[in-house]
Amino acid sequence: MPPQMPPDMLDQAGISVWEEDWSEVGQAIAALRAAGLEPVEHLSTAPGLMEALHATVRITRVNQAALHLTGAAEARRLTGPLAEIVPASISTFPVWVAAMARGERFLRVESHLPHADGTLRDCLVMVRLPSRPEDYARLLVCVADITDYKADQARLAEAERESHRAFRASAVGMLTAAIAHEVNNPLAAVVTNAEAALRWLRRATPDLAEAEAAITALIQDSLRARDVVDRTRLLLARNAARPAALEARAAAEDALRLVEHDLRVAGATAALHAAPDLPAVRADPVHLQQILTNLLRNAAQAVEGNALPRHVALHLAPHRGGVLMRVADNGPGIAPERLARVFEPFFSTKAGGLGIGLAICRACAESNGGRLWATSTEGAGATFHLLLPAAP
Amino acid sequence: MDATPPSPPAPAREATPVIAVVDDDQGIRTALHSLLRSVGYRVRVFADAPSFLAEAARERPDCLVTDIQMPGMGGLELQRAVRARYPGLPVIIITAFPEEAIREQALADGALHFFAKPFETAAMLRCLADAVGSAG
Repeated sequence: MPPQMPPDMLDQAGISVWEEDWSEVGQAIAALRAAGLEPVEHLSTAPGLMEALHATVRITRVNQAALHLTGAAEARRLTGPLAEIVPASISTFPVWVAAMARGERFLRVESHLPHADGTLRDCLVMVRLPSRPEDYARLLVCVADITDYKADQARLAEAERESHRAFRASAVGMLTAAIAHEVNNPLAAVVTNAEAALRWLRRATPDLAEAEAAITALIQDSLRARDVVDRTRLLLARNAARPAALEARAAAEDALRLVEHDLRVAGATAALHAAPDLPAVRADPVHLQQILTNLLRNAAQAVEGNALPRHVALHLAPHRGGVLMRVADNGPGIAPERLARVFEPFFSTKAGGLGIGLAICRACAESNGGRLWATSTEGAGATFHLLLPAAP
Repeated sequence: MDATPPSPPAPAREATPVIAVVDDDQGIRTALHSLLRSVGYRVRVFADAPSFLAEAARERPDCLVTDIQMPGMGGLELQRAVRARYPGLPVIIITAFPEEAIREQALADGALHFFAKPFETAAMLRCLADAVGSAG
């Protein structure tokens, strides 16, 4: 039964407490159940039934904190029909009735409370539900203002989305779009010029000047394509490794945090298994993060279509004086003839993938003095092994 | 480098179809200019959408071949602008970065065909022949 608290104690409580009379709701639930009816189901059969029952609930008493929460000048403003004082409560009312009908002991819902300043406050409402019929007359409802908390959460989620988008847009996404655009244009020009030259030559009277012009242009286009490749290499060279001593475990934890969203989308669980006493590794922190997040995202995508459970595991163990980081999934695995080729640029098994993620990862690993390779048992998942040297 | 004057067509007749090519890539403009003339079309090339629209306001081409990703007005936007002025004008889209969503949009907007660069020239020429008839 609800605790009988002296009035002054309620007023001293830091959380707002509302004493409410739900007697008629209790009786209605009991009557419906006695008639073999499911209360919420029955109350939903005709319009107005739920509202009529909601209108019987009365707020009988509130404490000082409730005044503070709502900005009400006096307790009188907060006592009376619940439907009038907190109109939004109708939206969670069926949840309350359902919980009461099921005989649950405790209920926690989010709702909205009007504040005297005209705003609607986000609230967390907690109540111990009545266990005896007479308890319905005096429900103690605790309400906490979580508006700021919710706003923080929304900002946090927005920041997470934004950083995610920025990361995607900055790293591999931008690079692939740029490479595709830069290479496909000269390539198209090469093919078109070659075809044009042939057609000028195959005319009844070959037009040698036009053919020569087309072939000259073709050579220019080929050189342009080569320049793109050179520029890309320069781009990677400019990002030359700046190795530092890193804690492998911390790097792994960071990477897992960054791919949390991808794992969630894939419905996969992730586990980190780190051996104790790992030596610090020597690697560029940005490179290491890029490699690990790439491998983890690939793993998440690999298990996505799988039957449950979908696992992605990151194992850290000392190996040959360095640290071996293994990203393992229980996805479909990689066929032996494909396994050797997955690190080739533009070799992608993913629809829409341009297939340079693993190529960049391997280049990154090697520029840090490490190695990256893959093993797989078809049907039982794939494992990517990243071996990094220990910091001196 | 914007609007190339109409080249003397190989079979010089008034009925020779005029193909407009809009692409910000100089290499593509040069190559298509040569290819399309080699099969007898008259060709006008433009480095951006506005210079094409200015010219098209004076003289309607028989077909438009346009790139998608261009600074300023892109190919999809250009296609819509052209649709407003010349509803029946055949538009062929070429792009170096094909995305399914863009392809669907281009076709929904009425594009005759969507080619990913590098495209097969034979397919492009067939498409043009279907749209405006073969030249010469």
